[in-house]
Formats: sequence, C-alpha cells, structure tokens
Amino acid sequence: MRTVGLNIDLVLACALFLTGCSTVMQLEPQLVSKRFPFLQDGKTAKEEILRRLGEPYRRYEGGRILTYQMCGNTDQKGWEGFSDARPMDTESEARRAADRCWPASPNTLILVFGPGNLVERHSLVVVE
Amino acid sequence: MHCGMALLALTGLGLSGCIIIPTPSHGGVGVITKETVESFEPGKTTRADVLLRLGDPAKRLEEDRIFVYQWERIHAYVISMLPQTNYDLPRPHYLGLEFASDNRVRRVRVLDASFTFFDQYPKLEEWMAEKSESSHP
Repeated sequence: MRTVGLNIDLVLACALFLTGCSTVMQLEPQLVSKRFPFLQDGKTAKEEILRRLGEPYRRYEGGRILTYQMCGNTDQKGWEGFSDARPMDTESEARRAADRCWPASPNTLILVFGPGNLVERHSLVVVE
Repeated sequence: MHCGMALLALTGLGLSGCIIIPTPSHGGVGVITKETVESFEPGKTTRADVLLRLGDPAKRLEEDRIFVYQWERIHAYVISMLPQTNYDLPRPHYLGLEFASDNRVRRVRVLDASFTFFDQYPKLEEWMAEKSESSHP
C-alpha cells in the first residue's frame, strides 16, 4: 500500500514538473517586421494589406481593426516562417486553415487602422 | 444538488477503481496570465489594446460589447488501477471583458476553474447579464 502511495506521489510530482504551459504573448515588434516587411505603422494602407493578405479572418469596429489567423513556426525567420499561411477568402477556408495548425494554435496578426486608413498599430499574437 | 451529483460521481469513480487527485492548476495551452489581465484598466484600455495583446476572442457577444477568452489548465489527475487509463483532467478558465460605447474596457472578470465537475461558464453568463447603470445610456 505504501508502495502504491509512493508511486502516485511520484507520478504526480513528475506530471507537475514535466507539464509545460503555453501562454498567449505578443511577438517582439522587430520580429514582426522581419516577417511582414511591407507592414509599417503610419505608412501601410489598408488597401495594400487587403491586396497582399486577402480577406481578413475577423473585422472589428466597422473594419477599423482586422485580424488574420495563420499557421507558422515562430522560430523561423522571415516570411518563409509562415509558409503555411494562406489568405482566407471564406469562412470554410478559415476553418480549414485553423485545422491545419492542429495541434498548434494559429498565430494572429492584428492590424489597427487610423486616419487615412493607414496602419496605426499592429501586433502578432502567438501561443508559446 | 450539485454537491450531491459530485458526491455520486466521486463515489462511482471510487467504486470503479479510479481516484481523482486534485492538484494546483498547471500546464495548459493559450494561458492568459494574471499579469496580462491586470494590465487591462477599466476606462483606459481599449478594445484595440485587448485585441493587440490577446488576438481574437473565443466569443464575441452583443455586437462586441463583450469578449470571452477561454483556455484550459490541468486541475487534477485521474488515476486508475487499470494500466494505461490514467489521464489528466483539464478545466476551462474564462476571461470576460465588457466594453463601453467609447470602446474602452468597462469591466473585467476572470473565472478560474476550481476543482469542480461543472463548467464555470454559467457564472460568466450571470456576470454578463449584470449590466451596470451606465451600460446603455
């Protein structure tokens, strides 16, 4: 009985120690710039974003904020890191794109537009 | 009612040769940290700030007046006498954010799953239903 108890303690201790935790975090701005060299706050227009990335995954505040979901290995450098990323023209394609990420979580590019429909702020949210 | 059902479930598990061992919450995917939640200031943080920090919410409700983010953490282990039937027991956590008409955060609520068989989402729904006086001027 004591052996069983000891084993359970050991299993739990190992499980607690070995279980990883991934948190939602923003990628460093300079790394985002490397992946999206065309993306510059105060300069890039919404038209260019739509032309390059296609229809967004989600729109907020009447289109002032756009989000794109994509699969990608954040350890890789450059656009190639997002070789699996595809513009999502339809909801079903978005669903398929999200499925392709499994078991990883998709990365999300968030773009906030300001006056003149220029990118005001942006970030890339990753689960790491 | 809930306690009775939980007791029944626990008894059933015990009789079937399984035991559930609660643990401090750990592990999980897409965990939103306490520090992140605390960085959202009502009356100051905007919807754009939240999206830039966390990405798309799991749920958009009432024309984006409310965002719900969800993640899971392990809260217990089920240990069975049978081989290869041990597994962890993740429970959902929720972050609810209510925005005012000026697109700034009005209220923030986190529901940390304590060790329970029941989803905490109904509690979040209750929180969502609590409209402050100035919600819709």
